[in-house]
Amino acid sequence: MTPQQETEFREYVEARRGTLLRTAFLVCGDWHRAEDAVQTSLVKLYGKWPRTRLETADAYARRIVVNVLIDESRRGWFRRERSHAAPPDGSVEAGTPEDRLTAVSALAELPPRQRATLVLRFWEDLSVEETARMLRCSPGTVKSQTARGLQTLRGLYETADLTGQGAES
Amino acid sequence: MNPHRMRELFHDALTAPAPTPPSSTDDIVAAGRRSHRRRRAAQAGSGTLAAAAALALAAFPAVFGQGGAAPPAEGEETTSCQTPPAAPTEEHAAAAAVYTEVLVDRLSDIGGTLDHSCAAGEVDYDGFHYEPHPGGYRFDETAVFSETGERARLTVDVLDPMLGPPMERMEDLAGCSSIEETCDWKDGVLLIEEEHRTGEGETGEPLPGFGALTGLGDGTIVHVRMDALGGPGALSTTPEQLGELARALVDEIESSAMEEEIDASAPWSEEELIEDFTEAVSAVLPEAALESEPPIVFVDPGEDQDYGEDRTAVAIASAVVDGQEVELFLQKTPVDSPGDGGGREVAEHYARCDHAAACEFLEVDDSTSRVHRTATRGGTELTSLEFRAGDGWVLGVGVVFSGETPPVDFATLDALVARIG
Repeated sequence: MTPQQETEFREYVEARRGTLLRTAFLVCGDWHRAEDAVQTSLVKLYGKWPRTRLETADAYARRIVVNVLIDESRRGWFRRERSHAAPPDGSVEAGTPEDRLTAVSALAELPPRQRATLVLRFWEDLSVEETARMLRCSPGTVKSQTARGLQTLRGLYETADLTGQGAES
Repeated sequence: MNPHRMRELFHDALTAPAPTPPSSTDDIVAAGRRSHRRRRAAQAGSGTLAAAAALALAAFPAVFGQGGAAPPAEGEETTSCQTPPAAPTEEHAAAAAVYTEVLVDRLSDIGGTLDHSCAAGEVDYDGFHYEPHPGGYRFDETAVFSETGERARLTVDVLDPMLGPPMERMEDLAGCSSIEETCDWKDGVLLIEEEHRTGEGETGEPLPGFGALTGLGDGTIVHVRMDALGGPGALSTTPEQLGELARALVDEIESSAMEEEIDASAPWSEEELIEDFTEAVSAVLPEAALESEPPIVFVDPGEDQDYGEDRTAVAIASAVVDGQEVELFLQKTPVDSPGDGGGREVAEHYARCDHAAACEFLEVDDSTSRVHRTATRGGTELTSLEFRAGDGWVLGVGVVFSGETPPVDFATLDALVARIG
């Protein structure tokens, strides 16, 4: 990497790190995991930087972030599934303010891939095709994941309304 | 829940303050440098793209002349073609095959095919090849456009990065200083139009030649040229179309780098899987004679096959079992949504049971299930597919037999697939 390219990479990191961090947080729901993923992604991006066009750098970086988080969830899936012997029943428990349905807890009910699909579609405003390319799956899979994710969230909020917790905003 | 509500939900989720990043930009750059050095060291001598060469060979037999050469062009000789002076390295052959695949694909989009021929005494590379001097991949073939009857010399160079401003380098390569009026930058692509370069055609009129150059951030340059040959002596292809072709190659180079990155997350390499496969056959079917020539490699089964989802690859080997000829194959398919878990519906989806004559679902453990798939297409095909949610992969071993009852049953296939990965 030439000194000029490295300077450009530094400028890119300074300018875009926060945005990538927010996307990563929405995908995984944990600031520390998000920060780790962004850092890992930027380190990977450094190696690719000389071959990355500035106008495509965002898409490239975002793709690495999302895949890092999904790969991470893939490796941890078996362990997590076993540790949650009794899966949540789809509703959110009422009671204390801490239990109140929050956006974060609602998103946490979604499987990682489904959640990433919603983030890319509705936070990053990517098309179905762009999302499919980013997640390395077919447009049909993106559509079905989107529908299932929205349906799950809709169910959660309807249940929350019925139990008096109310949906935010 | 609608898209607007979804955006509100995301905004709500981001109301919590983000923690201060524990690492600075300097830390990231330093880690990037270390990682880059390690990767370069690890890549030295490795052949991660080995299967890609086979993929392109399998996908474009006509281009590569497998199973019978294409007819020679009129007035050209094929008997005197020279074979390349030296075998390419695995890495060069693999990259060349991928570039050729992209080029053939894009040429087809604009109505062209390759005329697989060479003039007497010329070296026949069958697509791209690597030239150490000046450094880069080169393609030089004749393109034929059946609809217009046009023929053109198509040359493409993917030039290694060099020092110096890439735009100036591109203009130098295009010879813009001498033909300045025909050089035009458009959206990062240098488009060239000129005449006379290829000499006089049958009609005595000047023949057109078009070109396009673009590059990557690291200084790699892709240079595409098309010069009209005999026949009508015209070119319907535009410089912009050549620019799109050049961009397609740039995109391929970039995405190949990304694919390597992501594929590196698989728990095994393709070479390891093939090794597991051959060892499993030796252990489970010790009397089977497995053909190892040509070498067993993963290839794309193509869209007309019913093996699996996108990015499925199969490695096929001929074998003789109990005196009967069969084909044994190993299949690998990455799971789209491993975080969603397994289950019968998903496993059967990946086994493409909707295309099968019969499917039997078997649960192996909490994260693994197995599908016994039977297909009948001019014979019998049995596959034992393991859906491994923990790894995020589907692996399968199958047998293809021309008769009704293959000499390898599902129990044997189960034993084989259990030893792989």
